[in-house]
Amino acid sequence: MTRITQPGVHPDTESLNAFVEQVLPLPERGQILEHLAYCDRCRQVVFLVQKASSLEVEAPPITPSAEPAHGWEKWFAGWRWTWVPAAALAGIVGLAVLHHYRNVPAQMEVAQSVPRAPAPTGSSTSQPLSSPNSAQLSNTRPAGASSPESKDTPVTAKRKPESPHQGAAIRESNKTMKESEAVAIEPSQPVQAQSYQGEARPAQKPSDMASQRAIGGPYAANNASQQQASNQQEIAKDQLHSARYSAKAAGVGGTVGATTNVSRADAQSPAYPAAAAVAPARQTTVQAETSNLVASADESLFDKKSAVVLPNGMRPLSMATAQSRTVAIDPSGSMFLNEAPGGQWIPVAMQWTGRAVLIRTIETQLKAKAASQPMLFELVNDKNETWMSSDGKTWVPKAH
Amino acid sequence: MAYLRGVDAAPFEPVDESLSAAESAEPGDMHSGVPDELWGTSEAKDWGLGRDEFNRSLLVVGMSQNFGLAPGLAASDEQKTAFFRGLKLDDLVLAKACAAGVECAWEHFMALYSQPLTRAAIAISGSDTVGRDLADAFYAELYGLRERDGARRCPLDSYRGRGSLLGWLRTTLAQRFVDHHRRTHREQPLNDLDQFDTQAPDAANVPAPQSPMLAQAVENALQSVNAEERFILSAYFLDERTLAEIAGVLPVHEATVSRRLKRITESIRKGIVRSLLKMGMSRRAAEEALGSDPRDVDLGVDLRKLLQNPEAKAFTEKTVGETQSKEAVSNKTTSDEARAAE
Repeated sequence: MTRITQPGVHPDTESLNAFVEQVLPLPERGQILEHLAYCDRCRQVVFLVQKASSLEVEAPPITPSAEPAHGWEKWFAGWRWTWVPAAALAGIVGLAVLHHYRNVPAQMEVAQSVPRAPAPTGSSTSQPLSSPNSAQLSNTRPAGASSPESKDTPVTAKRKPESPHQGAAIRESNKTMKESEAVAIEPSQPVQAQSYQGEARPAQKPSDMASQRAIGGPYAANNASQQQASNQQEIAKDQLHSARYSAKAAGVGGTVGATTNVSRADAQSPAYPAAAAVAPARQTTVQAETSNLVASADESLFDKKSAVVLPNGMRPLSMATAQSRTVAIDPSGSMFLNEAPGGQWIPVAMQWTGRAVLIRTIETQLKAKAASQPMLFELVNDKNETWMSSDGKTWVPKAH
Repeated sequence: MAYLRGVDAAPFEPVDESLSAAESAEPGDMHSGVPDELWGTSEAKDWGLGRDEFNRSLLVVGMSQNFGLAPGLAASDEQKTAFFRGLKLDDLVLAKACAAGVECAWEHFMALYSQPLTRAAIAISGSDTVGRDLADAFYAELYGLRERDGARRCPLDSYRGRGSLLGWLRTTLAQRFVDHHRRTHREQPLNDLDQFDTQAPDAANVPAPQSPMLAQAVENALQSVNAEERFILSAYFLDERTLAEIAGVLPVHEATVSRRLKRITESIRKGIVRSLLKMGMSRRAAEEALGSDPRDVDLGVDLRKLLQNPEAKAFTEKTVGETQSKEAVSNKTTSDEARAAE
């Protein structure tokens, strides 16, 4: 009890607190009650403290050390009966993710190694690969002798990147690839440059397709399932996007000095390998014949492209020549036609949807089949839709 | 910060000067081993308090409270031991460490009491804004931002450990809030003066003073009621507290409070009638003077004064008892010093 300067004498804080907490002995409690009977100030204090205490009981204080465990238990107290289905759901999700990551490498391998159907020309499937790496592959492992397990070998890893963009896509998705393998597929590596020249573009050729089938082993020998086909399409779309972005990054209208790697890897290939990667997925359905007849540009086309400047000042992204007609598309998707060697480039009105990313010629077999109106050029847009043209001016959707 | 202004007197009780003289004393003539037991069970070492400081704090607490006995009584060793064992030692050493400015103690204090104290302030004030303001001001004061006579003053120094530290903090907050409210709630803007003038009661409307016999009878009846019953009457009729609130303070069930209230009012009513009868009034006249319900009685007297038992000089006696305990501490200190000198 302490005398304070306010009128009257009040119990001190300690006594009032002890009274509220019922720890006072009876005599002292009686004194406090005696005071409370006429002191409305202390009565008010007591009732306010009691009110605050009762509210605090509803929300008990949490000691900092026990806070995490207490909060955990408190959290689970309200969800006691829901943790079982939640755990089951988490387990299912985990299994699904595990299953997904186990299947992704195999599906990607299939996406790369599924060959195109044999060309009607009857090209030899035992033809040796043109590139040194491919030759090495054919020497070390005969066609059809590869096993699914062998795709993890470094030799297969060198085969994987058909283009720098495919290699990048594979690097991102295939988490199990070793560091050395990842280095091996870097576009700046000499081996990569060789594999690009020797494998990536010619991979569309029947001979390379044959080698891919040989490398693919059972995967290539069997028809891909519907799910695998859809996965391949997704992968191919990813590669198409990555090709597009890398084309932008490389700056097609940039310095020519960079074209040794860039012009092939970025200026030409952004559309080409993407479409080539899309082709296997489509091939598994109905388009085997026409896809096999797609001819890639030859080496001289690269040199020609590097020298060509379109009327809009851009260099061609893709270019094809047939019957003295040259059709080129720039990175923005605009098409130009040159009807005579050395002539002027004429813009072609857009008769397709999306952005044209690839222009290519059609080989003579298809021309012979459609002798009435021979189709010379084929255009692929960024949605993997195809248009055909006999003169480079008029484009019609390709019939499926 | 308004709660800090004008509450210089009430906020916390400084350590008595006489008690501070007991700094070199031991915590009483307790049973052997009890001081060691208290020292071992407390967390004083964790907060950097020394054994001497711990003993001194216990002695100050015990003597200031007369070891839980009525003032003037001398505590035996068993009573002292029981008193010390009943203290909230953990809270006490934490408060002492905080008052001494131990940083880790402050961190623990803030982690432990920051949120509860804010919630208590909000509950006491009934307003989130006012409550937070009240709590923030109290934090600053607890941290010892105020100085008195050039020394840093911390309210926690006055904590004695009889109740919980959280309860002590709540009570201190409630005291400050009530004092502030009582000091300011009558302040009205000048614009409202006209309203007061118009609402001023006419002399004719003032209720006529009742019979002095009735006033005397009421006073006699209330004096026969014990302290707890008068507390119930005050809380229920004057403060208009609910039965649940009263039951929470006592603590009993609210039905018990209701029954006791009914019994008290009937008893007072009978006592008033009895007094009136003794004064020569007829029963019928007494019943009419009283009315049917004691709450309808307008005596024109101060019930607060009537509810105070003039003979219960509790706190005056307590003050005397405190003086005696201070003298005892001084004597104890003197004797200890003499013993140490020998």
